[in-house]
Amino acid sequence: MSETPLPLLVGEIFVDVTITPPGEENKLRLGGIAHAARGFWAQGVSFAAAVVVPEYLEKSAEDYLSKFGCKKCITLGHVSGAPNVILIFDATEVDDQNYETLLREEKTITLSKEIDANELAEFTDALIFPGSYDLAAVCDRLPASLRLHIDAAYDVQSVGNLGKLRQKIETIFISTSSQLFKETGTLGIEALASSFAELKLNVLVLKENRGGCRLHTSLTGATEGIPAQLGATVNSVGVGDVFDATYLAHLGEGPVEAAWRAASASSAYAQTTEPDIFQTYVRRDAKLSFLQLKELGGTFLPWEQRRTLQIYLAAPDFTGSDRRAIERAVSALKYHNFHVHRPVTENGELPRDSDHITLAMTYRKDVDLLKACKLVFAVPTGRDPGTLVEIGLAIAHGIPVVVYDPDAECTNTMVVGGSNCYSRNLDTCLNATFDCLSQSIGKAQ
Amino acid sequence: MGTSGSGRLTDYPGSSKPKSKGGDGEGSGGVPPADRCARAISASLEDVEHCTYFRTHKISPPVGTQLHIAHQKRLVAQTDAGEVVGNLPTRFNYLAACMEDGYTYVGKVRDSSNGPPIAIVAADFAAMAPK
Repeated sequence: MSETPLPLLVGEIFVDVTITPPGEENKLRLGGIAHAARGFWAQGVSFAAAVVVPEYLEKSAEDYLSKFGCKKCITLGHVSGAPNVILIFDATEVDDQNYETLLREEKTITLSKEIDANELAEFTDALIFPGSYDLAAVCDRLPASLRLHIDAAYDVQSVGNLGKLRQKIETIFISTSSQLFKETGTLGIEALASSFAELKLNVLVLKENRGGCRLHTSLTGATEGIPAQLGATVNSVGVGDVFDATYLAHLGEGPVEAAWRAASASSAYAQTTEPDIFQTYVRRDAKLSFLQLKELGGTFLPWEQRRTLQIYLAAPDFTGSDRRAIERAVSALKYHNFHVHRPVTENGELPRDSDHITLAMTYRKDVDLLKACKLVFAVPTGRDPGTLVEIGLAIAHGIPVVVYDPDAECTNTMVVGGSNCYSRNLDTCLNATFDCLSQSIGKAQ
Repeated sequence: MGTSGSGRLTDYPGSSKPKSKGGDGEGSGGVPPADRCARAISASLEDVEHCTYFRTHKISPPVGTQLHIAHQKRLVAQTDAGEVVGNLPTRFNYLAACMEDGYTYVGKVRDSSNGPPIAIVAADFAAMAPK
């Protein structure tokens, strides 16, 4: 890579602290652009970094990044008033990632007054992670000839703000979990691409979490769907950043192959927090040809298509019940844009003394609803008999069943053996939901 | 588990704690190996009726039949005679790279049914580390 210009990694440095359950040690890692740095390193790509960092962290961050192949580290500015420490309460992103940035309202950023232009002249491509800093002011300090690849998942208020940057934006990465996506892209990839048309991008990459990603090429108008490689999530923080770095590292092989490689690397990053093991996984994956990667397939479930795949919630979803696990599951499914039917809400919650005819009418409505759904997601808390009957009905009708049983109350042969997935772990159940529905689309097509 | 605690940054390259290489059946009990390639797996195979074994014999292979994982276009489980019994679920796609690295996966049929409604084969596989 010695003759290839180094990519320039631009953004903030954080400390990520994952808060683990009692009895396990909390996990501390350097965060922010450090995730992308690990992504470059695993691909064997050296890089340079231009960072916004609290002063107390500056030396250790520079030292850390150098161990991952950072050949030059330039301080763009300093954070003060806050330590840039993020507490992470859910490292698996089953739901909206539960982050807490300490003292965020006290945080201020002072950018360096000027940067020696010669220090930056050698760079041709920059991977930028916007943050609390003034993006336009930072870009004014970077060479005008730089090609920008921007992760617009967070801290970009509008497409118009990106249009004010003086450099050419080659690539925008956006995620279905970002606010900007919710404002611009929920109607489909074409609508999303139209929202970014003014930027005259080469490529727009929509990262769709466990459902894969889509890559829209402006020149041809073509969209390529790339499946996710789902595995048991150990820590999903920074997975998207690793995707971006890997994409840029492989861009010379074309954006489509780059995105396939990026999907594999980001999956590997989610499955370990040990850099050496992550690098081992990446190096192994590199032995597979692009064709081999494509033929293996994966899980592909576009965001807007999920709304058409209705899910029946089988659970004691009654007023007065302990619905914490149910609400967690529903929240996670809705976060991923699934259309969840809650029969108790839709068909009514009956009084305990209801007569047989009333009960039978509601039973039929619930069964009709269940049969109209593509998947039954069951949360059989308290060994609720109605939920167990619904599981049985779904099995009998050949409807996939995913059972989330957080307290392992129903480790029963018929429940476990009859369902497509039975787990105490919501991450596992979500993966199974994506997998079952992705397969049902594949078969339908 | 890599970095632990919050006293300092420790997850530098080369910081992983030494671990056994795994394979040769490791992962069938106790703490699974850190390297996913070295872990044993259990899988319900997909598309059994469409694969060569079922199409040839009109039945699923009996319990105890020896299988190994092969990389065709997809990852498949096949008999020693080379008949494909079923596809592995895509969540095991990472094994393709493990096999490029020299790992092999050998196992046996643990569950077998001819249906209806569908033919079912489930199998356990042990990981064999590169020699």
